[in-house]
Amino acid sequence: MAGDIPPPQPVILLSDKLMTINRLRNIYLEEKEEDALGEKTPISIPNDIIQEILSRLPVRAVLQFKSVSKQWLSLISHPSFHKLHSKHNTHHHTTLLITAYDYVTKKRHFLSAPPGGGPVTHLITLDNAFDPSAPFEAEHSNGLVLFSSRDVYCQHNFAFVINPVTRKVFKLPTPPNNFKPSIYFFGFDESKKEHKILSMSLLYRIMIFSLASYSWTAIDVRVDPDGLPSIIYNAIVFHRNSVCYNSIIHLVSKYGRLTGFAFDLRTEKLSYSVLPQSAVPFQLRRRFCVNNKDLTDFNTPLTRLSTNMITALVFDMNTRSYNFVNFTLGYQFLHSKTLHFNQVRSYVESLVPLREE
Amino acid sequence: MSTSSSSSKKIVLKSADNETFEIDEIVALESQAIKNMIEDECADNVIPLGNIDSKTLSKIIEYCKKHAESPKKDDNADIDEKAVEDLKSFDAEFAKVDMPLIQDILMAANFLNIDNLIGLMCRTIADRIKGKTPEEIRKILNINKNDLLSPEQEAKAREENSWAFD
Repeated sequence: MAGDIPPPQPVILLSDKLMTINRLRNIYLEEKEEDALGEKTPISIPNDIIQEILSRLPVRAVLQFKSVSKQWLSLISHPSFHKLHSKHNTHHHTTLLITAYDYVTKKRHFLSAPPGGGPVTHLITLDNAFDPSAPFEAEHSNGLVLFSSRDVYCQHNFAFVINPVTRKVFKLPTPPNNFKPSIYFFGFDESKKEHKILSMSLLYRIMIFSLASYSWTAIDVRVDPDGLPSIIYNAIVFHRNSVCYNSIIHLVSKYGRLTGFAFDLRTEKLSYSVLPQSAVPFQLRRRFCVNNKDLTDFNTPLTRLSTNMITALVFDMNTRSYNFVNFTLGYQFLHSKTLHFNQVRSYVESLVPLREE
Repeated sequence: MSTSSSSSKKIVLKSADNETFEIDEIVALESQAIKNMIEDECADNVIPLGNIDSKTLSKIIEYCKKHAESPKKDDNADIDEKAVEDLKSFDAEFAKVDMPLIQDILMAANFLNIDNLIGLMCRTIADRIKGKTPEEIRKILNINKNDLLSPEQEAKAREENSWAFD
């Protein structure tokens, strides 16, 4: 059903169109006559116009409107719809992502919550997906979240991409040529409009996974006189978290000197520079995520206040102060004492599609 | 453009209910479909628009006149902000009509291929259905009752997006 949607109409000469007018008009008049006693029956709105209307609505409204009709459900579910939507939709709604792990049931839960605190909503649960003791990170880029291992010596290795809105999960395939990623960073290539995952190994190799082609590509990293191997090593071992801005993944590592790394996703080239110690404020070295206008630090642990409430210390860049934000747990399975809350991150709601596993 | 109206070329549009509208060619050119037709020299003296009634057509002409008179964005990089604001408030006022007329204008704008007007009408409809329930939207847009989801499909859609209904 989803495959039946015609592409946006090409420009048709009016003379061609006029030939069909009479036919259309007859249909129109017939419809009118049918309903002569009742209200006026409008001509049904064509698919491309419905898509134009829906693309101007916020993500939540679009999802809610799936149940308006079969036509709307099919249009919203179509993989190409998100491109139109991201073009027109200017409501960038930021939501929090909370991760939790239950040591008895061995389930990893992903929850969402309003930025200012409030009730959590269950999104996704992964069963026995990986060792719960493995270090991990959840990074957001342009509507998707990369949930991956951060294990330098690669005893644990996993990477999932999640769209918290559509609740789709994609597990990255094992890279070819015995490449063992120690670390994954997430970014969006604005020139190709695609998400990319930058991955580094301790053997000074770099690979990119594209979420457009769903494949790995090796990046040629030449060993230069400046000692690139040790630079990559430092980036992996002593890094803080990364952020992608304008198609460039930035990260800062601190080993003796403070070094800034920049990986340009468009040219797929790595560059780096030594930064003055004062270049990055302490708070930002911990964790930073860029929202529309807020820069917030969620690196503090989540604490359980009571059976059905947890709290997080959140750094508010507007007021430059830490505040406690409380979340209520409406689900019975979240009340278990064996459940540990791990992280709070933020993401922007989007309809970016993900291939099903 | 009204000052040059005596010298400029005229186009006559005829609505479904046989009302004729004489307008400057420059106004008619806001419609990509009419523009193509004029360029291909297949426009007669009178262009019949058999699927657009006079009420809708006069609104469309009102829109095209205003937009033809306003400086185009790509013509001139430093058009004054006042003109842009003026056009914005015109658009806002223009869209203050009832839903059936909005839909008629949208369908006609789609037929005549007037991009800005299609965008304006889509934005207007989006603003009006935002925050409404699916049930209300079916009423507002008069959705065909044969196209409703089965109870199973509806339950599935609701289940998948339960967080959107908070």
